[in-house]
Amino acid sequence: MARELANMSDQQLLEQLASGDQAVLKHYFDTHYAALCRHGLKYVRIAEVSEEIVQEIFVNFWERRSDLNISGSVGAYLYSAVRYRGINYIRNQLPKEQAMTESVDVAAEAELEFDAYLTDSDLKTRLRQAISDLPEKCRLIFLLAKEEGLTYREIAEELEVSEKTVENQMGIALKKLRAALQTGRTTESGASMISVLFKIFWM
Amino acid sequence: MNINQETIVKCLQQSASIDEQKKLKQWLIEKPSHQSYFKQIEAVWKNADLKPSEVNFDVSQAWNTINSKISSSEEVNVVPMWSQPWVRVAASVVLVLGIGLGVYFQLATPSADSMAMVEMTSSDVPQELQLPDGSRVTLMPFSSVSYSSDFGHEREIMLTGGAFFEVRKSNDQPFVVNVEKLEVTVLGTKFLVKESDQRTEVFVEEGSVSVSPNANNGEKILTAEQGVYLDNSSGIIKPIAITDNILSWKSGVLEFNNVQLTKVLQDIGTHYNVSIRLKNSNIGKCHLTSRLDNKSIDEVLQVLELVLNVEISASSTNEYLISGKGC
Repeated sequence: MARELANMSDQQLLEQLASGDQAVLKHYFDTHYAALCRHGLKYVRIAEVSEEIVQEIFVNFWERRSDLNISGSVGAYLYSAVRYRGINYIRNQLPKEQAMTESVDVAAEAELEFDAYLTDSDLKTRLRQAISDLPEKCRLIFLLAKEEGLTYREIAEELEVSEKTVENQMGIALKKLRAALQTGRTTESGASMISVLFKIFWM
Repeated sequence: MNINQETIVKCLQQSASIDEQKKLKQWLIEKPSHQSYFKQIEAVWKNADLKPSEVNFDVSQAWNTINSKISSSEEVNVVPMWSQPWVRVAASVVLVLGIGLGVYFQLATPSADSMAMVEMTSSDVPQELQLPDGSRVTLMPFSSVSYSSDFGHEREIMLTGGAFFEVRKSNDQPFVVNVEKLEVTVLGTKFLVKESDQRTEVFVEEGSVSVSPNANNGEKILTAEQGVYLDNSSGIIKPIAITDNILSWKSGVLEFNNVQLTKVLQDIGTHYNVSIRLKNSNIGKCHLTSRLDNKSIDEVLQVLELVLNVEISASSTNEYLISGKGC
């Protein structure tokens, strides 16, 4: 039976779904679930939350089966649903004021010294850690700018915050990520002193 | 000179206008510290890996969660009772019975809403659900039950497919399961009802039930560990042996006690939804004693290969061929 479903077009499958065929739901679920959860992790970071979001999407997909209006592919529909809900989740999770707490003066920060001894993979690991340490909203704003290439205005509209907030949050993200490049030369005792100092400075 | 943070970001996004790019260049030549700042931001931008880490998700567990959410939301999706054929029959009976009773029904039934039907359907896995009276139903795959939303007044349920019931005891409210060919009435017990095109089976695990075929007035009382099947075409009721692994779909356990292989393969075939053929009919005469507890079909076939000293190959999807000497 699964093979037959795999040969059917989205349009045919949606018709069958609308008539109440749970096997179609199962088919889409089996095909996309894990990948959608991974996609959700881009936005929400906690695996359980991502799973919950994806599960809600499938339940909703089933409940609305008779009045779904999907013009493109079902896969694309599901992915954009994950993005939408993921962003929504972060947006609703934090009080809006929190975004205004830190602001950044670019020029004053320009004096930091870049650690030329870091290898590419060191750098990537360190950045990965630093990114996952960013506050939720800050990280999401950085992601939307970097991965999706959105302008500050577009990000502001999507998250329902001001452009100033986006700028502040980007400032925080860039500051913390830059700091990640400089701290942590822990092999020498002197260096670890420096790293402690930097941490105090950047927190 | 001051530069806008977004201008820097735009340059990194490669979406900056020529004007903005010029601005950045100017700012960069102004001071070496500007250059080192930009170099760092650029390193961050180029090396920041936002791909989610590899996490494994338990797809089948997630499906169970969804499945239960779906079926509980189905409860909300009530079907008006009047659309059910059997209710229409009941309604016409009321008409025949006369106006007096009709009036009573009107008084006793405040609104059409309270007469809605609740329907629940399982997918390709068994589904457990609880009825309003606390009785439990385990639906076989692709089966459904429906009952009136005021279930509890009368404990009556319609079933298509098969289900195992654990009925909460109530001396004054019999629990009635209707399938197309027969009706099962109980007070409190655990039993299975399963219909197929050829036959309708009832099997009692605990307590006792009364089985009455819809086609005639006969009634058969079954007690624990007893089962019958109704041959749908002849209307004859015959006993089923309890070695039939009739509840294996629910327990996941197949048990054989010196059972001939032809029968073993039937049970395995039903349980895993596969078909297993013999290359040499002599193999079918072998006997098997084994308990297969929640094994995959591959594991089961391995057991057979070892115990019976045969070879099993997949001839196509869900079809296997056993070859060997036999017993």
